[in-house]
Amino acid sequence: MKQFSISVSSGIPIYKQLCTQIERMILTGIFTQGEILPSVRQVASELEVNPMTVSKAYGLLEERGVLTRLRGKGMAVAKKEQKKSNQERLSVITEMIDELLKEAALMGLSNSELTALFKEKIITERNQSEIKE
Amino acid sequence: MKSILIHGWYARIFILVLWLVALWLRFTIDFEQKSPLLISLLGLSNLSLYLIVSMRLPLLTHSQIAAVLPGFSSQLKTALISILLISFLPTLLLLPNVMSWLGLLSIMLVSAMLMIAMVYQPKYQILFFLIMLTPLCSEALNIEITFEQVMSYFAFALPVIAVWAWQSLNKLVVYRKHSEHIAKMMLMVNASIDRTLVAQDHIPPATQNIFMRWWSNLNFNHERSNITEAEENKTKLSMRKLIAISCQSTASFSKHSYIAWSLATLILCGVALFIDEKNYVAVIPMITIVPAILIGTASITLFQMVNNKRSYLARLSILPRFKNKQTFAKAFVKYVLVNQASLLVFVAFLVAITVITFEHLTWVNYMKVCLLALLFCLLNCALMFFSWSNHSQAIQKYVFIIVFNFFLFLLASLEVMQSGVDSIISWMPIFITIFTGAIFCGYTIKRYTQRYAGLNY
Amino acid sequence: MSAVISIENLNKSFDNQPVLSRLNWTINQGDIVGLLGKNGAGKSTLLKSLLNIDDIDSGKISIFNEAHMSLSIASKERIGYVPQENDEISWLSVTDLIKFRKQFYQQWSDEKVCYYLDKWQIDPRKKMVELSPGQAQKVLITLALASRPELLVFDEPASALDPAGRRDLLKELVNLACDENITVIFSTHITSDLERLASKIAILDKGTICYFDDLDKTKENVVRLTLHGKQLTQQHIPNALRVEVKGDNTYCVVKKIDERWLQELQQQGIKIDVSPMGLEDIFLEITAS
Repeated sequence: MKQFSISVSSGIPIYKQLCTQIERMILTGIFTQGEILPSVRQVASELEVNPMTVSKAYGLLEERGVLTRLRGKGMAVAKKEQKKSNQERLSVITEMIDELLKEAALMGLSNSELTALFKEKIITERNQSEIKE
Repeated sequence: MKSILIHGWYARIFILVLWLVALWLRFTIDFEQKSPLLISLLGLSNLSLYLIVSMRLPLLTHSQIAAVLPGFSSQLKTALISILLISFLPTLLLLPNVMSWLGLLSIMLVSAMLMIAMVYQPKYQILFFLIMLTPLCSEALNIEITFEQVMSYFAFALPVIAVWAWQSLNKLVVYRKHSEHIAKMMLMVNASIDRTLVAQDHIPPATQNIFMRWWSNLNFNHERSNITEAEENKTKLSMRKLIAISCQSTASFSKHSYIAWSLATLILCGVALFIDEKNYVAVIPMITIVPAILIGTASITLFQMVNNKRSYLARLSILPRFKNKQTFAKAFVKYVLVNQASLLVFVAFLVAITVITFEHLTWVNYMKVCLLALLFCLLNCALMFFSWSNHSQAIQKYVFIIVFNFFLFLLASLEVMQSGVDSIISWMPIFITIFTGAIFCGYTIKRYTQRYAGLNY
Repeated sequence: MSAVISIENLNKSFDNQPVLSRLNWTINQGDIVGLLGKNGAGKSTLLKSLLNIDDIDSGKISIFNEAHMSLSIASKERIGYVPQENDEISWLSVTDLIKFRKQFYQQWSDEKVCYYLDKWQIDPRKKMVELSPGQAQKVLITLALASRPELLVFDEPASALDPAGRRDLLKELVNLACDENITVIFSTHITSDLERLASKIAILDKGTICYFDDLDKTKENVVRLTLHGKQLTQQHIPNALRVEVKGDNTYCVVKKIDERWLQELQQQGIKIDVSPMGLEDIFLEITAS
């Protein structure tokens, strides 16, 4: 079973944590299109959380069209057009950047410092991948 | 549920034996003549049954879960009725005599109700004393009443009593009102056999009655003054005294117990000087049994108390006051031996006073009884040290053996008193058993001190 | 969804000291409710009053649509209860205690009993008095689960359990919640136990249930706001639980964000940070006010 990880004591409701995690896992390709997700029961007893929480997360993702319910089989990753998916990717990454900015502001980092750091990271990342190739 | 109410083999066997004796009496002796004896025998056995059951009832009715268990009250009712019916079976032995049979049934019902009432509400204990006083009253008022008449009155009252009992039973099975008295009762009954006598230590002072509070305060005050005295005189308490103070409990036989018993004996002897000598017979069994009971309960209490304070003593033993475990063990042995020896000497002294007054024992027999007591104490000490050196958790076993020893000792001393010079207990066996007892005791003490060093208590 | 428990206007006092006053509460089927409260808030009293273990002064309580004073045997069979303190008869062995409890129920799972005793390594020959408090609590939990109840009432189930035992209990409750539509109420002051399992939380404070809502909604609604460069008092912030002004900024905790108010402020050009809070903080904030 692919691992979810949640932090119970954080202020973010567990179902929301699950939603974002599943969305990310789909975008990063951990879950492929059409793949069937673990059952509510499996997830609930693995994470030791209320099964209602898990089904709530699944239901929400179904509403958003990320998952489709297969009768008798459970939840599967919905098939999607490439274009739309790209848009979604951007929206997810925007959310993550927002969080990052908030954290940076709390730490008192200035905008120029942040952009410098960001650029530096991109360059090192690129170099590393070139070395690997 | 029934098995909880009549839990415990000792009680069951005791009641069964009484019933069997009643059965044997019924068919061996002249019925008409001995029917009061038979009735009192059956009464005694059933009363002890009711006592056991009623003491345990609060454990069921007042447990939290009782409110949640489905059908609890109806099952409790069935259990109680069946116990009652079983207790009625032996009364059938009275049967050709219908009147006394019916009378006994109503007396049983009334006494069962009274016992339960006393357990649940202490105010009914007054009724018990009133009943105890009725024979005296009837004598004082010169009411002539025969045993048969009493039984027939009760027989006629049976329908009323039965209805009354049924109504009380219906009330009882749903009774849940909490009180301090019931909490105390439950604490006592819930304690397992190995700590019955020291269970009072766990009763919160607020729920104790005035006498108990006064008595335990008196005893604890004595220990407190010991501590402050040592403080003021800048002397150190001896190690034995330190242990004695930490083993002090509400149930201990303490300085004030010595005073109280000496006073009681002196008063009794003083009274004896003024009454007619032919009335001595009534007192003699008592003055034989009571000293024996004193020794018995005091040594069982000591054992239970030390067991109860295990962890406290273990903490005490690691204080810098005790150089090493060996020092503590020696001081502890000294404490136990001094405790038992002073008790023995004290009781011997009390008995000597009563012997001077009542002359119920020859001095030779007095010596015999004293030696028997010594033997009992030796055996107890040996058993206690044996259990402690084994770090035994099964204290019950040892308590049973000590209680058994106690009964043997009681029987032996009664025998000596009754048969006087013709006693089957002669000097030789006494000396031999004391000798072996002493060796056994010495061996267990040695074993205890050796084993104690290095091992946790 | 049908109400399993409904409490109306419950009053209860000890020695003229009110413990619960005008308490109203409804619990629906399938809810897993965590009852939070400070020490001495009356959690145990509430649960005991609910099950008719303690008498109440006034009010109406119904369980499975029956008055709690006169529950039918069938309804009682559907209830499992684990008390906070172990008041079982101390000289009974675990086996005897199980036998005693079994006779009251039509439905009783011996396999479950064996499974738990085995899992928790409890020797059934031991007497209750010989068990440690944690082991005794495990026995009580086993007994409560063995009758396959539909309504489980736990009074501080985790108080004497070690972390492993607590996890086992939570896991078992998760399984029960998956398989059967059971309703669970458990009182605790350990919020992390609640966060995994509870679907709803209730907070008992000053004699009443002062807060009762979905756990998820609670976490979404109760948030900490930081208003940069703006000083406001309690009256000016809707649903505020606590307001603190430090320097130019206002820090506050609100029960629920008033969206219109938020937008108004944002239109005024005030920067507002919204940060979520853990359940422990939420509990402290709600009971502090």
